[in-house]
Order: sequence, then C-alpha cells, then structure tokens
Amino acid sequence: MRTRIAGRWVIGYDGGHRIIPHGDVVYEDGRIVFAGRGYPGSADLTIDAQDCLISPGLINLHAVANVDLQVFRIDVESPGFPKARRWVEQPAATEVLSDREIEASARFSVACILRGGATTFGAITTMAPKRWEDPPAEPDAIARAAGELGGRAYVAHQYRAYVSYWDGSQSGWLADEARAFLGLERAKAFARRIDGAYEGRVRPYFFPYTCDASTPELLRASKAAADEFKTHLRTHFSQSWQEVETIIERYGTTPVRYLEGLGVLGGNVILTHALHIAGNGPYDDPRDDDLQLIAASGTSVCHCPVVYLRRGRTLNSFERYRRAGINLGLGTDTFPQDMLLEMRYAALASKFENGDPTAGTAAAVFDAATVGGALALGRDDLGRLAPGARADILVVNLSRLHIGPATDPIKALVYHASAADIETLIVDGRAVVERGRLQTADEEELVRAAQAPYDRYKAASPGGIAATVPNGRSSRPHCRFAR
Amino acid sequence: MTTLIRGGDVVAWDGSQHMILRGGDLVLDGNRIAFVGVGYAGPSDQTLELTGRLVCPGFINLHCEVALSHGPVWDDLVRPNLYAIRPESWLRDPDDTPMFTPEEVRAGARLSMSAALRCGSTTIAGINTMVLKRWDDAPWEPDIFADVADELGLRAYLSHHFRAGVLSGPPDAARVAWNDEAGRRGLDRGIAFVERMHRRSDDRVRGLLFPYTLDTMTRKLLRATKAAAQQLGTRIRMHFAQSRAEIERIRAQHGTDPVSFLEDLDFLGPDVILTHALYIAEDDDRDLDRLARAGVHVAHCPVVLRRTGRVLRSFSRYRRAGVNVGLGTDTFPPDMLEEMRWASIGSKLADRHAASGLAREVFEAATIGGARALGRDDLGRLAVGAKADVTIIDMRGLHIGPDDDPIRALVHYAVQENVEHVYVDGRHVVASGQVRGLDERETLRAGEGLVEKMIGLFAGWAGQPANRLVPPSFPVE
Repeated sequence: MRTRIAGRWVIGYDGGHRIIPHGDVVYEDGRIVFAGRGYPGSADLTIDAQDCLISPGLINLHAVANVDLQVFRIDVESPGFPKARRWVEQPAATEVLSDREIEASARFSVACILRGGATTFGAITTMAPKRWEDPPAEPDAIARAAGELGGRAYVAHQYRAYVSYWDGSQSGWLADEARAFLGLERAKAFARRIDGAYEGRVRPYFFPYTCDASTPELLRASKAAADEFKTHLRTHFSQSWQEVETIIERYGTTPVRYLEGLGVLGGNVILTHALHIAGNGPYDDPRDDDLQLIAASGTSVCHCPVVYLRRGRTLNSFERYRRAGINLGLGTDTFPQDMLLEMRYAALASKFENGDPTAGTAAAVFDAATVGGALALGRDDLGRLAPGARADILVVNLSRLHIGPATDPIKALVYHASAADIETLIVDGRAVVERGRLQTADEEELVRAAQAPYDRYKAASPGGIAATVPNGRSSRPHCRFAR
Repeated sequence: MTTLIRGGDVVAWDGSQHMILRGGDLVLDGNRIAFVGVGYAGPSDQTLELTGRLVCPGFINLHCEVALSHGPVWDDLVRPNLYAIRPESWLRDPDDTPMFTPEEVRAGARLSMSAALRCGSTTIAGINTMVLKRWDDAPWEPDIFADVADELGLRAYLSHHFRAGVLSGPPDAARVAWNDEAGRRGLDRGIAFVERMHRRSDDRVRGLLFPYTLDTMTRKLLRATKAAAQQLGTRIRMHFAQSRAEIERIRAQHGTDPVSFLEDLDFLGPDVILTHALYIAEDDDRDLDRLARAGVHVAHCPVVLRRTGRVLRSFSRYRRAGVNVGLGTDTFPPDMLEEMRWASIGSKLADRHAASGLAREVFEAATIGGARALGRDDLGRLAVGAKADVTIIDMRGLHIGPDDDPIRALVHYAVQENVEHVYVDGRHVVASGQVRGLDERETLRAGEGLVEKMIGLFAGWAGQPANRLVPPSFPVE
C-alpha cells in the first residue's frame, strides 16, 4: 500500500535537510519513495497534514528502558545511589524487581520513548540497583516491548567488571573480571537470539556499562563482539572528575587516550556524556587534543542534556564538539524522554556554555537528533526523508496557539513544541502513534502497571540498598501532603 | 453559581504555604473560592470530576508580552541592535505615526493573551516592545490591550509605557537623546490610563505605571512617577539592570550604581517591581540585601535570558537574600511551565548545584511570589475568599508516569498542552485545552502576517533582504 502525507512543511533531504513548504512524503512497504513538492504518482491513502511538519523520526541514542531512578535525585544534591558492600557481596543475588515488574517497567518506558518522538532508540537500563549485570529477563523484555509496541531498537545485555560501594565511611570498588566476561557471553547469546527480530527492527549492541567499571580486556573483547555482530559498542564515558582520576590512577593516562590505546575508538563506538575530556572541565591534558582524537577516529558522542542540567552541569559544549568535527547524537537518559525537549535544552545549554546566541542552533540540534544519531548507528537509511530510507516519520502539529507563528518550522519545533504536539509517529511504515495516542497498547494500563516497579525502585534508592547516604537526602516531596 | 471541582490533587494554601490535598475538592462561588478541602458535602450547581489532575492556583505572569513578540525571530542569531539601525528620518517623523494599526495591535494582542491563558496564566502584567515606538505608546494602544483582556477573560495589569530618553547608536557608543517633555507627556498618559482602568465596573483589568527602562529615565521623571504611583495606589514596574551597558550608562550619567541611584531617590519600596535585575550583586549580596530591606520585588524571566546564554545568578540566591521573586515570560510563547522549568535549571546551572531552583521555589514564584509583587492577597493561592483563578493540569498518562510528587512532576515534566482547564474570576475561560470563543486558526494566521511585516520592517532598517537578516534553519526549496 502506498501512502502519501501532505504536510505544510516537509523536511526533505539532499545531502542535508531541506525545508519544503507544502510538500509530500510518500512511502510503501516500509520505505520512503518520495519526499518533495508535488508527488506526481497516485497513492492508496492520502493523509492531509496541512497544519503539520513532516519530519524524519528522531533517534534517541540513550533511552531509559526501565522506570527511571534519576528522577529521585531532582532537586537533591546527592552522589547517586550508593550500595552497601554487604549487599553487593551477597552471593545469591535477588533482583529488586520481579520478572513481571521488569516487563511492566520495560513496556511503560518504551511507550514513553516512542511518545517522546523517537522512532529509533538505543536502550539502556539503570545499573544502580543491580550488581554485575542485568537480570537475564531484562534485555529480552525490552526487545519484546520494542517489537510489540512498534519501535526500532538497539538493545544490550549490560555488564561490568567493577561495582562501587559505600559503607558510610568508606567507598571503594569490588572487582570481578570473570563475572564481567560471563556477562559478555550472555550479551552475545542475547545478540544471537534477537538480532533481526520483529522484521529487523530489533538489533543488539554491546554495552560495557561504564569506562571505569570495565577492564582493558573487557573493552577490547566488547569491541570485537560489536565488530562481529556488525553493530556498535556504547559506554558511559567521562561522566565525572572522579572517573577521570580513576582512569589516570589505573592506567596512567587520560580516558580518551586510554580508549585510543586499546583500539576501542572508531566509527562503531558511541561515548555517552563525554563531559570531562582534555581542555574541558576540571583537568587539562597539556596535549589538549581529545576532541581531535575523537573526531579523527569517527567515534560519536551521545549528548543527554536534561539529566545533567537537572544537576546544574552540562557539556562544554555541544557547539565546540561539533566544530571540532565530532559526530553528535542526542539521548534522553531520564524521564520524560521527550526528544523535542532534549533538542531545545541541547541548544540552550550550548548557548549558555558558549555565551553566544549562535551556538547550538535549532538546525544543529535537529541534525544531531536525526542524521547524527543515524551516523552513530551506522545507518544511512534512518534520520532522513529520502527515497530508499526507512519510513520512520514524525508528524508534528505546529499550528497551535502555544507555538505561535511558525515562520521557521525548525525553530518552532525545537524552541516551542513538545512531544505532546506529535500527532503521528510512523516506524517502518506502521503508524505507532496516531492523534497523539499510542496505537499498540493502552497508555493508562501501562502507567498503572509501572507504579509497582516505580515504587520499588524508589524504595531502593538512597536508604534502601544503601546502609547510609553520604551528605545527601532522599528525594522529599515539594509540598507537605495533607489528608 | 457554584462549581465543584472534585477528585484532583489540590494545591491548597494553608495561610503560609502551599500544600497538597490528594483527592481534594475546590468550590468556586461566583468569582470567589468558597471551599478548599476534602469531602465537600454542600450543594453545587455544577460538578467537574477531575481525578488525576493537578488543581493549581492560576499562574501569575509578571512580565507578559501582550503585543506580538519579535523575540523568537532572533533565536540562534545575533540580534541586530535595533535601536542603532532605526533611521534618523523615521525617529524625527513629526507625525509620530504608529508602525502598526489599531487592528494589527488588536490581532497581536489576541494571539499573545490567548496563548497566555492557554498556557495557564490567569493574571498577567503586560508589556510590549518599545523598539517600534519613537517615545511612548500610541495613546490608544493600552486601551486595546484592556479590551482584548476583557474579551478573553484574562486578569491583567496594563500600562501606557513611557520614557524620557531614547537610545540610538551602537551598544558600545550608544547615545541617549533626552526629551523631558515627551517623558512627562508619557507619564501623564500613563496616569490617565490607570485612572481610566480604576473607573471600570469590574476590577479584572487594572493599571500600573511602567517607566520603560532605568537608563531612559531622568531623576525628575522617576520622582514624579513614584509620587503618582503613591497617589494612585498602584504598582510601578521597570526594566532594571538588563545589560552591562545600562549599568555603565547609569554610572556615567549619575555617578553611582543602579541600586544606590534608586535608593537615593527614595524610589525603592514594596510598590516597585524590577524586571530582570540581572547585573547587580555580582560580587556580594549587598545589593540584594538592600532590595530585600526595601521590599522590592524582582520579576525573573528566564526563557528570554537563555536565548542569549544568560542566567540569573541565581534565582535561589535572590530568594535566600529575602528578595521576593516572581516570574514573567517577556517573549512568546507566554508559557509559565517552561519558565518554571528553566528558572529551576538556570538556578542549578548558575549555582552548579542540584539543590538549587527547587520545584517548590519556582512554583511559589509563579503563584504566591507574583501575587505579593502585585500586592494581592487574593491571588496566587487556593484559599477560601481568594479570587476563583484556577489552572488545572492533566497529570494522567505517559508524560507524567507513575504517581509521585505532583509539584516536581509539574515543573519538570508538564507542558502547555497538558493545561486542560483555566478559570479566571470564576469564568471557565479555557475548557479542554481550548480558549473559549477564540478562532485559533484565524488568530494564528493574523499573527503570521504580523511577524512577516515586522521582519520586513527590521530588514528595511538594516538595509538587508529579510532572508539574509533572518535566514531559515535549512535551505527552503
């Protein structure tokens, strides 16, 4: 069946995005066949979207596929989610969530990711309430949720060789490389199991959880696995000054050079956050060429502005990395997983860091959320509306009072719209969201089912798992509740 | 007529702070709140079952652009110095013909004010840009804003803007052309407007005095303004410490800093709202202590600042010093949810600390802080006897997720689209996300024409084609 969407604006692609007023997008069998003005052929179905912008579906490179714990730190200056040593060391690990709760958590979160404007996402799960790796049921639950709810997803079984603990007075690492390698084996088995599932919409990737919770051998072996499966490796990278110190202490070099030396930079590597690199933040390498090393290797950086802005921190800066030639993509990494908000805050955070209104333009953050994400995933058939590309499409109503005169539809999208203005989201030619509602599941039911895992994670965040919480308080209500 | 709003989480005022009543009831009787609590058993003419909603006091927008804003045009661009490119011949036009016709002003006002309601503001204090004016507002202009506020059912504080000086030339060498007569004429028009508003039959639209910016005022005009405000019993609002260039001009002209300058004039007091107040207290808290002691209010407009990468240093610090801070939008869209969110994030960024710009604090600024600034103990709170100004947000669904702290969810997750109902003065002005009685499409279309006209005017002044002055984000085919 051939479908034509007639929009007020179409974002076409011709080596770069183009604005086509009163344009058409036509797709058939999951692929785009036309994006331009005045489609000459006939279509079986025409969707009139004269109030709307027709955009390529957005790519969320770091989407939280479980109920999010980071929200419990909003407005709270806390070091995270410390774990007691004795809890980490418990041999028979009981997971915080039951398999049923994992399922509910995954389905709710994938639904949020899709409603947030992402047609493609790279899933992550929180390791804060976990020990060495994901519960075996979790990656499969995420793959199933993505497949059934209609998304395009990259999913990993996550593992690590170090787990940090805090015992009130003492913090440290417990190390167990053998367990991490077991995790990697499980990740490979998972990859074999799901690669290409759901009409090819679900693919695996490899995710040693953080750079400083990995060993050199683990990173090398993970990269080899990513190469073998023709997919990418992603890791949390340079999130804090302590992480940089840890790497220097262990390996005698700074994080970017450490990865370069291991052969773990490259076109199929995505570094999430990459906040503290040379010439940036609290340390300076006199060589100060980290940006160039990342750019020259073809490594992508995934920027997740909202989660760090809530902690009063941000990348310095989106614009500086971009000008250095680094491919940037965007991710959410926290609730509410609204990619329009992430684009807006990526732009604004860059203006703040650079003190320059022209830093982090709407066009640049839109590129990051589309073709930037696609390049990071090695996909030239995503992030663009061009003949032959996958029919992953977003229809956003920009003719709204709160958006105002949309004289530049990209600026209107980035600065004034939100995920709530998305009317339709199409993945592989299938309408997953229509009239702003998820078509593949009951939204209210998803939220209801997510309450139990949410409450359990909340109870497990500071105070639950941890014996004590250093200089932090658990999240407290903003108003006293009264009955 | 009484309306019972039943079943939502109600943000109730306990006399000193907001608190949450889960599954609470709110009863509106005429234009007043008759009941806030749980388990209302009395009669009502009308009941709305609103489980899963957050029932908030209507938001108070202390600095709301009521004409069509040209701000969004300059996103991502270095905005040309519009004061510098205004042609001398235009400035000296003896006719002083306004750039926009009354019908155009009305169309812009309808768009801006209906969007303010749509986004949850129940009270606004209006402002419109003066860059398109030679000296002061056209004499008929604020009355049009009053008409539109009246027609839409918005609670509004409006003013005839005036100034005694007009800037021209580049920012580093800006000249101020002074005209005492124009300043005095503007103040007289401002006073006459406030008096006209005070004679209205209802009190929903009121006046305030708005000397436009500190650096375009003479001592004499400020003194006269203060005296007039005291006589009229009205508020004064003024743009204050917006730029370093302004601070330097004050220093050059008056030999002192902005806070001392106003202090020496006996200008500061609880009747004064200073908008922005950005470039003060940079080294220590002394300026803040003085503003706090005088009872001055600050209108913080985080969204318009962030466009140029600026933040207040910081929202929480000003509050800690005892300054009452309210929020304003100062641009389009007049969206108080985004202002609250960025007030929070901007404060965290400025302080490099997560426990800054707390959700509770920005919510207070958008409600009770604004009410204090306007001297109103019947606004910004849901309490018996307060005005029936209510904003109701839909908290059901994937955008909010599992049930938890509703104030945190409101500030960090909610968006304009989730504003479901708005009541002003007991009138149901936004119902199911629609501004009642408004042709939304027609309003938007008129707004688009006005933005194009505005860009054309600026392009003419700059001597550049419009698409060079404001290039599109991507090439247009």
